[in-house]
Amino acid sequence: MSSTRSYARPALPDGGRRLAAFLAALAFFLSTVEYMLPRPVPFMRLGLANLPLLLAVDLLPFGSYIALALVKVVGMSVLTGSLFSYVALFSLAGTLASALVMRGLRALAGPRSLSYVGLCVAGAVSSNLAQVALARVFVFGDSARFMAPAFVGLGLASGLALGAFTQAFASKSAWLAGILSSPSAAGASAGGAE
Amino acid sequence: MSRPGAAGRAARRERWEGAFDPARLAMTGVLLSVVLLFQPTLYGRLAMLAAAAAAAWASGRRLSPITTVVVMAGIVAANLLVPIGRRLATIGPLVITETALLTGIEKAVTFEALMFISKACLGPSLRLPGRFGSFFADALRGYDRILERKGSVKLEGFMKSIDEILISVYDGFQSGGDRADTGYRGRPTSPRRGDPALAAVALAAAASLLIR
Repeated sequence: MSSTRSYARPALPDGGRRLAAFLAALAFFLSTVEYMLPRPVPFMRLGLANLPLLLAVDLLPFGSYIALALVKVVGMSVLTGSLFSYVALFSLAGTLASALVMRGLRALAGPRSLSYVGLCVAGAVSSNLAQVALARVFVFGDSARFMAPAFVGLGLASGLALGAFTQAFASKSAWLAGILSSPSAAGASAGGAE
Repeated sequence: MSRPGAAGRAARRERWEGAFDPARLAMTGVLLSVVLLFQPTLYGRLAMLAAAAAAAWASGRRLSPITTVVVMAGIVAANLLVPIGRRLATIGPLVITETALLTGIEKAVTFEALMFISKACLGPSLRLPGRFGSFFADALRGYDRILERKGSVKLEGFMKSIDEILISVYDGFQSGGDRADTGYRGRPTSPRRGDPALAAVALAAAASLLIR
């Protein structure tokens, strides 16, 4: 969604449940795609699977938005076989932290004031901070403070890249334009859904 | 043409999935994870790491020994950065201390053992109960539909190809005409030949908590 689009969230017939499930499916798929792409640096990920969550900030009511965040974590953990590991716990904390920060920021500033780049940087940095905090408790102990700057730096870089990608995708996507111009969405564009 | 390693992995996966009920396997995974976290000795955790790695291999999951070693070494090294306990050695500016080393090893072993338990005990065929389970099943159904089109994803024009996939799949998904069963029945499924093994593993793991 470009910053020129209306901020009103579309009213979805089932409270956004189906769209949330579809966005979760897209997250699983993008995670698979990213797995196949070459990485510029080992262990560095762009985090393409977060694109649906970023789009959902402006699409879904709060309940479906949080359900999307949860099912993204659980689904990806089941598919990759990490649900019982610390990785899933870190992923849950990071995803919830970024989801809540992005949603909170959007409540303060609409798309005209805050682009997906800004939202995504804030989300990525908060996600990495939450994960560093957990890593301090469960894995690295006090040494986590030495890693925090690198983690936050990586969050900044990946947030900028994914935010720019999402901004470009949202402004060109015919699929997204179709959702926003669907009858139920158009009918609700006056007031938003939340 | 598939590689021999991939074919072997697929065969192991098929055997594994045929032997165990996904829900009972996942429940055993939960129990093993709890037992691991309460395991009183490092030897107990090491034994669970070895057993879980063997089970993850037998399950046909993709494993990377190099990544495992690098991650474990990274965790141990990170814990050594803050010296705690008796000094054991000095390597350049790094002081290796006993408590920091043991803590690092314990955390590294726990981290990787949990990962292997997850890999062995979880699979895409697991179905979750309740509204969340139904939502999750819907998401998996959408994933299957999108995956059918993955061949049309190209690096050149990546964004456009993703958008075209979404357009082609979304309407059918939204209408729910092909809505899938969640697969969750809320009652036990028929016995599998792996059930005694799961029971034995659960008992052995629980008993290991008593060994000091």
